[in-house]
Amino acid sequence: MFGYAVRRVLMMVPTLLAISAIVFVIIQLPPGDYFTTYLNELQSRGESVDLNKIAFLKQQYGFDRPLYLQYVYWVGGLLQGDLGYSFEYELPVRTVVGDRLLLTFILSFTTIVFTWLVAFPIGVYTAVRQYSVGDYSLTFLGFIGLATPNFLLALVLQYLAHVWFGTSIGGLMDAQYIDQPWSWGKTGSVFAHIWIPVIVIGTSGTAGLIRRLRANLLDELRKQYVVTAHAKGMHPLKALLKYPLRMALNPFIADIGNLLPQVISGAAIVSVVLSLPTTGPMLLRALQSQDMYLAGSFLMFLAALTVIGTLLSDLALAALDPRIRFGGQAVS
Amino acid sequence: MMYHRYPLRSLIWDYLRAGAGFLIAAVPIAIGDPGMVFFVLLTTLALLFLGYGLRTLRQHLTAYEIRPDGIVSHGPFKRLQAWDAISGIHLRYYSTTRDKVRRDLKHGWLELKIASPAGKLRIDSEVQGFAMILDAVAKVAEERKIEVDETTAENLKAFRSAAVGTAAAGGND
Repeated sequence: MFGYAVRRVLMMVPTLLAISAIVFVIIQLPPGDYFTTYLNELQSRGESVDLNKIAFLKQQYGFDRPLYLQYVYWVGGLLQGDLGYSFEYELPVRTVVGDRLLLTFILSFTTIVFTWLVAFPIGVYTAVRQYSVGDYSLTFLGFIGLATPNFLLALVLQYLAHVWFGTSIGGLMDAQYIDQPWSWGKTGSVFAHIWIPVIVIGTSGTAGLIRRLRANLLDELRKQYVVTAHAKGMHPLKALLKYPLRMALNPFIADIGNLLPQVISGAAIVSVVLSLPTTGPMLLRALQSQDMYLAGSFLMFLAALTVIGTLLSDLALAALDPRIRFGGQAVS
Repeated sequence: MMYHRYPLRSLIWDYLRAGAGFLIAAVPIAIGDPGMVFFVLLTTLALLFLGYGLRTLRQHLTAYEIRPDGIVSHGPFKRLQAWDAISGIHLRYYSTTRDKVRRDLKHGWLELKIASPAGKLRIDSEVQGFAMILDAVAKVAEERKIEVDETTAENLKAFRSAAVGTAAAGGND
């Protein structure tokens, strides 16, 4: 297992390098650069522009270098934790980003935990009690969750939270904690606000997972070894937990890699609606203004999360089911 | 007297992996000034790859011998895993390809873990004569009625059928 883990970690390196090259090319694709956009904005407002200053800034930030050199400097900086400089905010990206990466991570992680905590028992129940009233009711609820647009659910929950609990509208914390160092009060405020975006982002994913777990578990429960176990008098709970549930979990775990980017990309729209201080809205703004190092850092963060998610799911799968498979099926 | 060693060809790849991983993690620490988070991350990675390199070195220096009384690993940590002391065997399959579907097992490897009260002996399928070692261990497990888990049983069955397929196709172990 150690050898496998090391090989998988090493495989992340070329993957992340390839992603960094693609990210760099994509953020360079729009014509011009940040300074050109900035120059156009100033000129459209009729403000005077010092072209020498622009030329000096371009030289200072290496925009006059060939593209491959700009890329090498950027990746070299990333490896040392230097995320670059945000031209729009005129601050290092690390300072601009501040808590946003952490808050995005907390939100995404909490959403995944919520999704699993809700989907897991419901998926098992609906499979074990197939076609019961409970199965139909929970399936119906799941479909409602899947069909409701996130932004609508966000608005409704915000309203209800304000009316019933007095929670302030929007944001991930009360106004007095914004841009303040972390404290117990700030942490408490984050947890008092986080449940709305968690429910909003998690609901659609939950319904999908319920359906998938239900289908997988139903397949397993119909296999002969489960029938034999029941016929031999094995306790129903043991006959469920010992093998069928473990086997049904495999696709569930394999999905971790996809879950992270899904949650984060879904969170971008919700973050705009709920005014969340996460990466989504700032990434949109950075892409619009061609603030390349800020946009690039965010995209690399999302890519790293995806790659790490895939690594975790592969490691979990290898630990859970290290079997040789022929033609996509376990040997039986 | 027959010794089973890891072939140099597979060890070289492992050395390269360890070296490349260590350099990627260690160079930014050495030449730059990474922040605390990156420092911890890169140091962990460097230690991981260093550990992998040491493990490869140990495999390089180790040879296994099947004897009537047990299996001996000669090398830096010499030990005898006596047949009558074996308490369990585990056979795990790992593959870095996404779907783990390979009939010839070339894109994955098996890890045989032989447990006894004295400790565990781990042998990768890359070792020369792995089929022979596995057969000997499986035979002992069968004779001593050692219960194996479902994964081990399935991997054993699959490995044997793959070995038969390879032999039928004119290949050799």
